[in-house]
Amino acid sequence: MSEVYDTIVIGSGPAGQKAAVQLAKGGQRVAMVERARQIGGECVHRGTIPSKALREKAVERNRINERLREMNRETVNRSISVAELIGEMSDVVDAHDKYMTEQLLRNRIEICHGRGSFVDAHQLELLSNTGRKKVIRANNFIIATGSRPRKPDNVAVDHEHVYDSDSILTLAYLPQSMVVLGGGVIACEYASIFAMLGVKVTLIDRYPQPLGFLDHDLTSCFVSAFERRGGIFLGEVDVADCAFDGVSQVETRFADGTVLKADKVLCAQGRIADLDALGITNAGLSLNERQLLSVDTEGQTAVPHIYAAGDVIGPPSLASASMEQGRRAACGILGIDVGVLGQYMPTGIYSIPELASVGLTEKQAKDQDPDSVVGFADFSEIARGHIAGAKDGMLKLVVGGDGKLLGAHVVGVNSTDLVHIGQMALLQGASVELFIDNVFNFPTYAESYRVAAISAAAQLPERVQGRRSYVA
Amino acid sequence: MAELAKDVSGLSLSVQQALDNGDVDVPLLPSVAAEVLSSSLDDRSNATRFAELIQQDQSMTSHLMRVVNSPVFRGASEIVALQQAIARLGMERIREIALTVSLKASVLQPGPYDDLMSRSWYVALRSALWAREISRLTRKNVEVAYLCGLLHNIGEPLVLNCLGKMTESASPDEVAQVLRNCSRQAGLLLVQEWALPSAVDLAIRFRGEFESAANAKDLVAIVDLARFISCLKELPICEQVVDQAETQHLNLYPDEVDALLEQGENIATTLETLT
Repeated sequence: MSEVYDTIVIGSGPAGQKAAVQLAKGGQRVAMVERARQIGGECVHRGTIPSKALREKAVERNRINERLREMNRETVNRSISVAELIGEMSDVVDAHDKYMTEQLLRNRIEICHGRGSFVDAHQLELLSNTGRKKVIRANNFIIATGSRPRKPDNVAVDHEHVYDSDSILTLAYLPQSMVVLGGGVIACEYASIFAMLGVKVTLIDRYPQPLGFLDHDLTSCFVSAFERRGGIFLGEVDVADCAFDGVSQVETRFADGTVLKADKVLCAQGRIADLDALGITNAGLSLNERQLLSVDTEGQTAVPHIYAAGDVIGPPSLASASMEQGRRAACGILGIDVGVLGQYMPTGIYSIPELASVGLTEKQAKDQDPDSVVGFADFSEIARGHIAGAKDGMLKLVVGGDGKLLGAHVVGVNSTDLVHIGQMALLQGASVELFIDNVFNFPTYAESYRVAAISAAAQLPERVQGRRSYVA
Repeated sequence: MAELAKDVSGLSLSVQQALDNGDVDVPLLPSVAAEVLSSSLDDRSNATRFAELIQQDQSMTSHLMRVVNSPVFRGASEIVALQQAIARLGMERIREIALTVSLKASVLQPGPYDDLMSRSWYVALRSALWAREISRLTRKNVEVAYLCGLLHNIGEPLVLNCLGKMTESASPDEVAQVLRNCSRQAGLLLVQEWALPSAVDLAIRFRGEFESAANAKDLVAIVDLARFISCLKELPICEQVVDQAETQHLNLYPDEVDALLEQGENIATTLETLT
């Protein structure tokens, strides 16, 4: 007799965790199926957390070196092994794993270690790594199996010379040079981290600018900071093929015949839904044209008792969004009305410098409202930034012709935190005056909202400014 | 260590004392091996400098040329120059071959336990090749795994050499017991004398005890699993590998173990060439 649960959550990443906890708190008997040894998914073990920890080490080392240079002292040797950095990251990952496991167990969620595969729409076969099989049943399912790196046919990923985003952190030493293929979030994060660690990085993308979904001023700031650290960005390049040359370098051949050699290559050309072993067709599901699971706003698939959340349903593929998708899917099963998902979802990119964005870009705003304006605050002109020696920071506010805030875009220290001030203002439908009429702590980076707001307000038509007459 | 001393035979105790007192002939680390080891966990060494180093060693060059001209590595035409070999096989592979050849020449010294010494070397080499493939499968560092596989039992030849100077007539059981009791200590001595990378230290220190290896559990499990496969006379069947604690720690599912074991033929061919 197979065990029966109210809901089985497949995958223990950010979406799966939040879903399972919400369901358990709603009184359900929940099982969480995870094929990896530890829970947390790629986010914890190969993605979000390790790469952010590596980023912190790179930034910290750079800060120490800058101070040592100021004191005319010898700087920290660049030939630090990545293994040393990864060693320290293991502690971070283990701590996170412990905390999450405790949370799941506290909520009486059964963790089933094994690989799940649908037998039919209500039964899942669980294969353990010892080869044992058992079938478990549930009234509902949430599929949150995440994603894995896409392997383009023309790039020979061997995890020895050509890495993907799952294996790049196994590098035992810092190479002299590295080519990063791709212009998305993962590519830009790693490219900027390795550049800061002293590696000569070339970032190659087929589009003119990396991170094309961001406001152009943010991407310009990113490229300019990346190139100041010795990185090279090559846009509008079609890569014909990329493979180890059999000698000591990896050759990246462009469509025009140009060959670029580097010690190592990171292929970061997107991720695909990780659904291969799940046997979704046995449950009556199929992939859409983008090889993802199609869901409605609550995460419900074409099979009513099966929900999906996280990377398997596609962009934005951010841990933050996945958590909320998981919670909403659980609420869907519990019959709890969670309302409409807020339209202002922030984007945080942990490159160096950090980038964050919410709402409309300048171009999107202009397309909707030709009278819209933008205001800037450069961190080097903000007292806090001046004190900290911030070189790469700025805040850009996009404001409608009627004075209403339409978007906030931040580059630099704490930008992924700072953007939430803009997000809250957007959610309240606030006008730019909100930032001008209220007091911010001094000295803080948050003060940049006031500076950028004044700069934007000064450009608004007189009828909107009223008698205030802002001067930027 | 006091508890261990109670169980060890007199021979084990003598070898341990010899190791403690530095009364053993620690072989010099060959310059080629030193170059490979010093750069393997750090920046890449310059290919030209490395080629020059190999060419200075006549025996090394001839041995290397024999290996690269074997059916496994040789292409359509004969390889007649070192630079040609590097171009054909790649610097990484040449470095591995050079390390293997130079270490073999250094640690395998003639003595009464030659057969055991050769067997130990064979297991080391086979472990290195399996460790590389397990690492690739589990997304761990391939180069470090090869190195640790190759050196995980580097203490054994030193122990056998030391034992050979004490007695030429130890029974197989006695030799096995001495190896069990003293190889780790001898290996760690070589780690210190040769300034081997810390990953090798961990692979030796925690051999057979991956659960105790703190942040190096995965690495030690990879090397131990590679050793398990390498010590078997025949290629194991999937179930034998699946049952190992190391396999479960590395979270390898039966289909992944099958895929791993499919590398057996390639590994056997490479092994034949290198030995």
